Amino acid sequence: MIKYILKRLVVLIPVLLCVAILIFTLMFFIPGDVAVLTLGSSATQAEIDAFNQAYGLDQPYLTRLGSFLYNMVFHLDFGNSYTYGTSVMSDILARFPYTVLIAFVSTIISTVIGIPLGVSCAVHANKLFDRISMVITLLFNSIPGFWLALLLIQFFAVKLQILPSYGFETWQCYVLPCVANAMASVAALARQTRASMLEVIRSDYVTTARAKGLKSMRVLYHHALPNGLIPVVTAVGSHFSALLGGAIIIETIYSIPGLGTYMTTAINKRDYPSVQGSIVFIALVQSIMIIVIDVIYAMVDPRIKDQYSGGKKKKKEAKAG
Amino acid sequence: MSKNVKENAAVIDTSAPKRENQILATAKIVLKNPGSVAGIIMIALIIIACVVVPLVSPYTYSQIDPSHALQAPSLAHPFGTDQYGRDVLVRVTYGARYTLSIGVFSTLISVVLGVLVGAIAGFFGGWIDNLFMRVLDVIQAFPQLLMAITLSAVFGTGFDKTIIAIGITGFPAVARMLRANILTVRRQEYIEAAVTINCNTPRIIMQHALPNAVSPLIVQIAMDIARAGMTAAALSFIGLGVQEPTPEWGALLSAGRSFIRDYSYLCLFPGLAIMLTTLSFNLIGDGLRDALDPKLRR
Repeated sequence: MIKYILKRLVVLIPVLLCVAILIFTLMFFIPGDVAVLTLGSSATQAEIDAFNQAYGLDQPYLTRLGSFLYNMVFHLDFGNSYTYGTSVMSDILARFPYTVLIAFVSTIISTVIGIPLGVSCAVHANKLFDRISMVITLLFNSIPGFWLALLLIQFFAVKLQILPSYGFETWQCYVLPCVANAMASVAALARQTRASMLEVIRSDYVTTARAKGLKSMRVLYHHALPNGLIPVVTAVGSHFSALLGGAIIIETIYSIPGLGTYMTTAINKRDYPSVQGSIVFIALVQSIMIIVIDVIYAMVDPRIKDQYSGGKKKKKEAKAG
Repeated sequence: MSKNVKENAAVIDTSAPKRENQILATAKIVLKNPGSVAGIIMIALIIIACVVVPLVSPYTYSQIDPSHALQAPSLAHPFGTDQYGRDVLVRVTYGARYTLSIGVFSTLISVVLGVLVGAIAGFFGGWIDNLFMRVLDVIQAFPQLLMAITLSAVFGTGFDKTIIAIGITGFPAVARMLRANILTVRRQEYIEAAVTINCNTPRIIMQHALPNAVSPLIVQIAMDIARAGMTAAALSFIGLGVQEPTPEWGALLSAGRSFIRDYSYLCLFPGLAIMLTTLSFNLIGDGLRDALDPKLRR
């Protein structure tokens, strides 16, 4: 298993480097003079030159790309913000916990509600409970998170006044953002789980287990569930990615000072080091999260587990023999 | 003897226009699905509303009338008016053309790019496949929405640039799906036969491989239009997509957001519009999937 994780981490490095190069290149070719935009039109030529020199903007593309990558890899440094002159890395480190917290809690909400809901729908397929749940999940699947966020503010913060509509100090502040972010994933995950479980329930070996006279609960938990959940675990990874993107939008609504608020301000101010840094950082977070989920997947799916743990045994056997 | 010949002729007759039959058969199954029918009707209604309401209504989407600002829904203004006294009904229905066309055109871009990349990668395999797949890995290393945000930061805001940004964001998913399908199709005997009779490669891809690999893509297209419309709304909502005073639904929500405490209807109707549109395309997509998947047809 360690070999598997290491292999995944090694593959991750070139991908992240390419992400950095891609984002840097995209930002490099945005038209417009950064110095003029940052300093304002009243800036003198000397001020502009000084700004360009301070941030290395007078250097050619390859030199700038090289120093960006060098600083990123060896000093974990994304450069300094054009607008504030502060270190982008320390800004990001101060803000990313909020964003990742929302994404993480939303992922947990959608897994904890979505998967059991999907399983019980599959078990009671085409009965009233299943029909109603499917209609509701279909609706929630189509509601954009940021609109749900506004509706929740209107209902829970303005009408009932039981939850705050903005802020980040207490845990109550995170209830609405996480719920608003998670609902679409809860619905999607429930539907995916239901489909996957239905396929397994209809398969021959489940019929065989039932024919042997096993109790239906035992068949469900010991035969159907382990196989039915395998595709769902992979789906959780893509949901985390979507929820991370959703958190970026949602937190701007609830005035949570996370990466989303940081990035949108930076984009509007053309503060490219901050934008680049945030994106590469989010790519890192997402990639690591997907590796974690894949490791869980590998542990759940005996076929993949066998590939890696089996290899060791065979080698030992070969040595012993 | 003559009877046999007749029977054979009948068999040949029915099997000749096979492609049309397949499309018709799919359409028939889709039209039997109540969900899809509801979806198609809702889309039709939205399109009719977005054409007819701005024509019939006495107001235009940009007509400012400060004396009637922030009026609650009434007979004169069924959806109320915004802070400048503009009629929300006209703005929401007019906005449908932006959201729908962003959805359709950006999906078109995703599909063209995705089919191109997916077909080439899947058909040729080897290092080309590896190269393309690693590029897709890089694009998919961060959330789709973040990619859309990045691209619209690069291209700038506006209707056409949003379409391009969302189109590029969506293509990796299409490419991966098509590649997987082409990989299975490529091993079929009829492809081998085409190679044997010395067909040129573009012809094999276009004539033989693609038509047999695109059907799962049709479902993806329906879902993608919904996703693209929603992404556009999200972008406009944070001020990066289509800008005020264009009545795109996300931009309407963004403008109505500051009035959520006292004038919540400003946020209600654009959001409902996004939801209904997304729902309709998802319903159509579900129906298409059921129709195209023989496993689910039982």
